This record gives sequence, C-alpha cells and structure tokens, in this order.
Amino acid sequence: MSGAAEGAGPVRAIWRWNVMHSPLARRIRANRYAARQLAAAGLPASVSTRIDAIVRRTRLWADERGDVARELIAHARDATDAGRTEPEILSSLGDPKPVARLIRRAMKRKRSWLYQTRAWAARGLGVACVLVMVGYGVLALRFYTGRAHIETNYLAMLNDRIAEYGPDERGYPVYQDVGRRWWTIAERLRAESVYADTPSDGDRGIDMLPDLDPSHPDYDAVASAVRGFRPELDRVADATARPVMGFRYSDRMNEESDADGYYAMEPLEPNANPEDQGYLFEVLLPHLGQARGLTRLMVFDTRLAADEGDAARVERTITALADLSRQLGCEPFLISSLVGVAVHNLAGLEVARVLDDHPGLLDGPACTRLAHAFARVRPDAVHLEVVSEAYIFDDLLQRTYTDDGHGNGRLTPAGIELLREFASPPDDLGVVPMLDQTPLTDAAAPAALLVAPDRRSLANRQGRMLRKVEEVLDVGPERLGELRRVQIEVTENQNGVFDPVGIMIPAYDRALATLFRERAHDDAVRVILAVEAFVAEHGRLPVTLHELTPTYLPEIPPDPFDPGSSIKYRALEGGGYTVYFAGADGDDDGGTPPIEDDGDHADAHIRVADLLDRFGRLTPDEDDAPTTTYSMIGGTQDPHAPVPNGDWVLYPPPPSE
Amino acid sequence: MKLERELMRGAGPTAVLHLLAAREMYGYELVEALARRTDGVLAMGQSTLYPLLYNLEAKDLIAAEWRTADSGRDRKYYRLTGKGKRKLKADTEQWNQLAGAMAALGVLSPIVAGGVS
Repeated sequence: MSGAAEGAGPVRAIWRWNVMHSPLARRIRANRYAARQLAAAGLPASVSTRIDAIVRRTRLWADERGDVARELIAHARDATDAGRTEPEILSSLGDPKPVARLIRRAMKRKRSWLYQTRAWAARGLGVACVLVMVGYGVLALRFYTGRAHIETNYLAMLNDRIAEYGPDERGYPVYQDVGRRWWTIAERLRAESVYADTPSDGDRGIDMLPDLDPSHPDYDAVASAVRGFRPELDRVADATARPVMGFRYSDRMNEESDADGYYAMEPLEPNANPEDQGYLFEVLLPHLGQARGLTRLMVFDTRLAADEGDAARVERTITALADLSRQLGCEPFLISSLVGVAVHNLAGLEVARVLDDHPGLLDGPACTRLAHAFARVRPDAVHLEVVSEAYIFDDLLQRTYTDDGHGNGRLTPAGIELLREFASPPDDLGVVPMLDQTPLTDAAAPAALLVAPDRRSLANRQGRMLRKVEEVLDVGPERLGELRRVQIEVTENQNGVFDPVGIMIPAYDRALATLFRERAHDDAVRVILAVEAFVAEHGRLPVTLHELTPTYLPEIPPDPFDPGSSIKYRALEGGGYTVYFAGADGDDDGGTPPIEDDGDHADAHIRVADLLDRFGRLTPDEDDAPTTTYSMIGGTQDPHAPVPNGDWVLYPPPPSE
Repeated sequence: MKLERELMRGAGPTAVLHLLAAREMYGYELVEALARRTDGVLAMGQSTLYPLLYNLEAKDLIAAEWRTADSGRDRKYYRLTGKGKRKLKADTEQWNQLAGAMAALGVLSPIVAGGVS
C-alpha cells in the first residue's frame, strides 16, 4: 500500500466522525431511535404518533429524546394496562407543541453546568451584541445626522480690514503687476539657461538672486536684467510707502493665471456665502510668494547699487524693504507676519553688509534716516498677528462640528473627511491606517464620536494657547520655555487620531523666537546705524554706547540673552567695532561667535534656535514626551546637545555667500 | 374540579414532592396518586407531569433511575433527594402559613385550614 493510501485511513476516520457527529446526523439518529422504541411498544397508532410528534418537537439531544420517548411510552403503556382509553391517553399527552416546549425547557435545565455556562455566555453575548448594535445604531444616527452650521464668514471679516483703503493706498496691485513683468524676464533668462544650475532653483531659481555671487558666470546677465528693470522696482519702492499691502483674500483663484506663474496668480471674488467657501486655512496667499520674490530682487538691486556707489538707491531700496515688511506685518495671518519679519531681517542684514563692504558709502544723515525708517516700521513689521489663527481654528470648528448654541458640539462626517486629509500622504504628518478610507473604516466612522474631543474642549485648548502666546509676546523671550511647555501640553494628541489641535496649532514657540530674534536684530541695526552716524560726524568711534544717547540712539537696547543687561559694543583693536549679544549660553564671550556646523546660513550667528536654547530648552524627559509637535518645531534642537558657546555677533556681519 | 394553571403551578411541585417523600414512584403512579388522593383536584396529565418532574430533577430536588419492574416493564422511578426534603419542609411551612392567612381572611374555613399539614 502506498504512503498516500496509508495516510488516507486516519483522515477518512476523522471525516467520518465529524459527519456522524454533525448536528444533522445527531438529529436523524435521535428520531430513528425514538421511532424504533415506538414501533416496539405496540401502542395505538394515534398515541404513537402523538408521542413521536412531542419527542420530535423537543429538538433535544439524541439521548435526551430517547429518554423522553421511553418515559412517555412507559406511561402510555401503564395507562393502557390500567384501562385508559385512547382518547384519555391522547388528552393526557396534550398538544404536542406546548408540551414539547415545556419538556425541552425543563430538560435543558438538567444539562451540565458547562452547558449552562456556555448557554448563558451565548445569551449574554447575544444580548451584548444586540446592545452594541443598537447603541452603534444610535451613535451612527447621531453621527450621520450631525450637521455643521457654517454661519460666520471669516473671509469677509479678514477682507473688511482693508475695505476702507482705496486702490492707491494698496501696494499689492503694483507688486502683482511688477511681478508679472519680472516673470516674463525671468522666463527669458531661463530660456537662455541663465542661472539654471543653482541649487534648489526649481522653476523659481531665478528668484534666488541674493545667492548670486559676482563670480557666478550668469551674474552679468542677471545684473543687466535687474538694472533694466529698475523703473519697475522704483514703482515697487513707491508702493511700499502705501498704508497697506491690501491683498484681498479669496477662496477662489483664477486657474488660468496660475498657469502663467505664481506672480500672475490672482484671486477671484470670494464666494459670498461661507457655506460655499473652503476651509480658511486653505486660503491661498500668493502675494506672500510674490513679496518674497520682489524682496530678493530688491536685495540684489541694493548690492548692485552699493557696488555702483549709488548711496541714494541703496538707502531707497533698504527703506522700501523695511516698508514692505511693515505692510506684510499688517496682514492678518501669522505666516504673513513671519514673512514680514523675514523681509525685515534681510533689510537689516543688508544695512550691515553695505556698511561693512562699502565703508563710507552711507553718510551720517543717510544712516540716521535709515535708523528712523527702521524705528518707524518696527511696531508693524516686527510683530506677530494671531487674530487669523483664532479665525482659522474657529472656522475649522464651524465646518467640522455641530453647534449646540452654547459653544459645544460633536464631530461631523465632514470632520472625519478633514482628518483623513490631514492624515494622508504626502503631508508627512504620519499615515494613520485607521483613517484610510475603506468600507471598514467608513462603517467605523461613527465610533469617532466616542474618542473625538468635543468642540468646547478643542476651543478651550486653542484659547489657552493663544492667551499664552499673547502673554509671552508682552513679556519677552525669557518666557519661551513656559510657552513651549504649554504648547506641548495643548497640542499633545489627546484623543488618538481624532484630534486636529496638534496639527492646526502652528509652532508658536518657533514663531515667537523668530520674532524676538528680529526685535534684537532690529535693535542692533539701529545701534549700528547710530554708531555709523556718530563716526561720520565725529570721525571716531564712540567709546561706549552711552555716547550715542539720546542724539543718535534714543536708548541703549537690552540684551535678550542676558536679562537686565544691554547690547554689547566694543571697539576693535585693529579698527572697526563689533556689536553683539550674549548668545545662547547667556554670557559675554567678547564678541566671539560660536563654532557653527551650519555656517551656510547668512544669519548663522543669530539663529532662532539659540533663543530656544537659552530660554526654551526642554529636559530630556520632556523631550521624550509622546508628542508629535516637539519634533516638528524643535528640529534645530537636540536637548542632549551642549548649548552653543559664543555670542550673537550682529556686526561685523557674517561673510556673504 | 381542576385548579387553574397558576394555582397548579404553585401546588403541583409541592404535591409531587410530598408524594415522593413517602416512597419512590414512577410517572403513571404519580398521576394516579395525585388524582386519587386529591379527588382529581390536582390531577395532571403527562403534558404537565413530566415537565414538572424534569424541572424538579434539574433543581436536584428529586433524582430518577430507570429500573425494570417485576412486570418486566422499564420504568423511571423518582425519589426525593436531601435537598428535596428540605425544600418540601420549607414549602409545607409556607403552605400552612398561607392556609392560616386565608382562613383568617375567611377564604378558607378553619377546619380546612387546620386539616392541612
């Protein structure tokens, strides 16, 4: 016999046992067994039929049916022997259906405790399933009937801020027009393969003008193009003097204009009904890109003018940059403020570079005028606007949560859709399989109500964050650590994947550190300009900064790294001077910058991360806290790394690249 | 006269336990004894008796055993367990209290009530 045939024996036996002990086989056997007993009992046919009917209807196990049949047969035979008539016996047996039910119920009670336990467990499970299904049904009903009430038109509220300004009071129309014209030139330069090999150029490489060194083979071509574009840049400079940028926010863009490049992107009239608008956080802000592009052009033009010895143009362009940063700072979005701060930073850096690279180009009065220009724009330019952040969050809530009229509500299907978008690649915010859209997750969506935070708790967390931001803005960088801890607490993912707070709240610690950095930088720029104005008038360097006040400098600015002390100034032995702050370590290293790993940045000596290192450094325990935010906002920091040992040197500036 | 179902449901088990307290009996015997000794008041057919017996058995108040009688017939004999005896005692006390209460209300005559033991 082959091995296969030998192996078939046990398999066949198992298969046969399973068949023989299947519920159907057991039922057939039980009925046959009872039938055999009835046939052997010799009872009247009607009695046998009645007993058979009762036994069959009990649907008991085989041995139980046999037992019941045997007892009923014995009883019927005793009755027959006692002279009972057939009708009497039938009457005694009763109606098969209720009798069988009573017998079945009683017999089942006799079964083993194991069976009883299992039966009760099955019943319990069944009840639990029913309860869960009913509960889930109620939950699903509640979820799918949840509708957001989109009533507030935040877009209109934002646009109302500029409604009072006429076309001639807005800079944006000019920037857009000039931007389009430059785009045409940039396209031509690109077609001529000018500036095509610049790192990270993408299709906007032509905008990376500040990085274009005179030794670059394309420098002359680009410089020639910029010189030829100066009439348009003068229009921009004039427009920066206008009160506002005046960009009108919209949820709709002219798609055709987008095809002509981002300079050409133009918003259409926004949908009047907020229900027809998208999320406020999705509002496009092409003007920021346009402003950055124009900033690069102006910075390039500043250097060109400095090389040409055109002091008036240098002064005019730097003043225009400062005013552009003012206009951006007046915009309601946090990102607008940050772009404004960045433009302001570039303007300050250009001041230091021009003074360092072209000594004497700017005379005393020019330095004083520039100092005044920086002082004038500072309140608006070096400023963070968080109003729109509250709007963005409230808009998100009104579109994704129901509203009970008392500030609370529950997540709606629209909210789930939004979370799906957040959780989907390529946002790189972490793929969340639970939110992948599948039939299973669709069916499970109502369960989100069990874990999603309610509207009030989200609003409270956002409100707490904003209050802390405003508090720290008023006090200064020494409260950055406090801000950072509140931020981690507020944005901590408290409800699994159904919590948008961690994603929607921006990295305020980094934003505020950037602002504080620029406040200090602005202070330093004005000190530098005051020193230069002093030198121009007196022909020597001031011994201390006190010589500058109040004629050249209203007051000596503080050192943000060393609360209670002021900005550092020191005349250098070989001539010249240095202006610096204490740096991340908080002590005076005599104006020596720390050794940097990333010296590629133009502002490497005044890193935002240094302020966080000085005042916002977290302990390793806090760093290990299960938050998603810290890694996103603290990318420049390693809590285990030593604090950089050195000063923030504002002058002389770092070598330009 | 036959008892209504609810009364039978209360009285039937106690009556069966009482009969089995004297000696073990099989089904038909119980039916006959109940009919005869209660003048048919507690007479019950198989449709009532066997579910009742199986319930008592499930509660361990009675135990059953198949035996072959002298006549050669197979019969299932029921007997009272220890638990059944305790239950019968408790039920009897309750029936006495009930009868006394019903007599006090005039529902039962004192003689009838006193006759229950």
